[in-house]
Amino acid sequence: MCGGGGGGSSEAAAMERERQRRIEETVRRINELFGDPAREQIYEQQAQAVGERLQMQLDEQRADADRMIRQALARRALLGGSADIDAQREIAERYSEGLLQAQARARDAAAGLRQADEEAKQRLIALAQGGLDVGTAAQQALAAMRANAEAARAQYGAAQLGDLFGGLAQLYQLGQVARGRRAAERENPYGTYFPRRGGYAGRVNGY
Amino acid sequence: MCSGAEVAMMALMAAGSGLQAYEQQRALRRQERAAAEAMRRQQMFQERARRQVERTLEAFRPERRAERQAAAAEAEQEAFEDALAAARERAGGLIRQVAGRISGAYDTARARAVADETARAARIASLLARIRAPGLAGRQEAWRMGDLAVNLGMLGNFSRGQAGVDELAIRAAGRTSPWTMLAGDALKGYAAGRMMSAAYGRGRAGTSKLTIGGG
Repeated sequence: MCGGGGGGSSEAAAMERERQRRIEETVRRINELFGDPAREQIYEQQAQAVGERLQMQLDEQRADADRMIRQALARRALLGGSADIDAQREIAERYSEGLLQAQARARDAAAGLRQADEEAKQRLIALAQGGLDVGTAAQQALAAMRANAEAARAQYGAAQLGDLFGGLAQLYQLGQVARGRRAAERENPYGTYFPRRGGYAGRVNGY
Repeated sequence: MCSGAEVAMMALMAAGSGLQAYEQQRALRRQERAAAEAMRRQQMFQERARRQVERTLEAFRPERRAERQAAAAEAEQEAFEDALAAARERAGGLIRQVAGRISGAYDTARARAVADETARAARIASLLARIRAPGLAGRQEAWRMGDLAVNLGMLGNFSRGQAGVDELAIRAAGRTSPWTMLAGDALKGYAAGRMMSAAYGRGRAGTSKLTIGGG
């Protein structure tokens, strides 16, 4: 005599095996797309693009500061002296710090793009476990990566370094103004209302 | 005192009951085997999950984390130093040489300034790399944990699906054969019927009319 019927359960087992196979195939395809070595190049390009943009700003700021300080030093005939070296050292130190900041931000830009891709990958894998088919998963993966790259470009396209040299150039210019004022006071300690030529007599009002 | 025919009928009834009991035992054994198979499959999923967690734990051992942070710091420092070197080469040095006749003291002071600035920049690059390394390594670890969570989620999904299928299989295995049970009922019914008719005949005639082979 035959035993207990198992036709329905056998069919259910086959369907479950097929479901698991489809999910594993979809997840494998998603991991392939997001793990493509070409993505590494895109991250590098992002870092490079942001780095170049910030480098341009840095170089322009340095050139402006260098020009202003050289003018200030030249007016005082201090070019080629220790003051010149000190000024250049200050500029070089600020430039190096700015360069390191720019590089750190460029690398953060690449890491941020990679982070966005990882999050998209995990979202798609969760959808795959819910039944997303491999074709749709691949389309959504590519669309997510494109959207992440565009968002990263927009975010870092307007990246600014801030003013790294402005304080330094102003310091030299203010030093120039202060020196001019001291020279004027030495010439006329009582100010312009009491010219030495006319003696020391004067009218004092309001006391 | 029971006649031979009555004994035979009782034996038939016992055979019918025995057949049904045998079929029930078979169904029970099939069900136990199916349940054991289902448990084995669930243990397999548990084992796969345990191996994944162990691999991740292995990667999170303190010495491995320290290695990853050191590697991240080294990579960052290398990138920073390359950028500094490229900038110096592009600009022909960050502390320019003044054109024209200059004193030896200026040359000496300039060389010292170049050396000092280079050392300072390298020190800042190293410090910045060490400051950033834990965050960078931590980000990679977070991705690894995310992958683990996704993989464990998938195993949980498969486990739940398999559990549903196994429940159907266990129920199906526990069903007795209707034909076997019917055969047992038939034997018991036939034997009971013959004994009842013999008892009725005795009651009417005072003697048993039941013989083996009919009557």
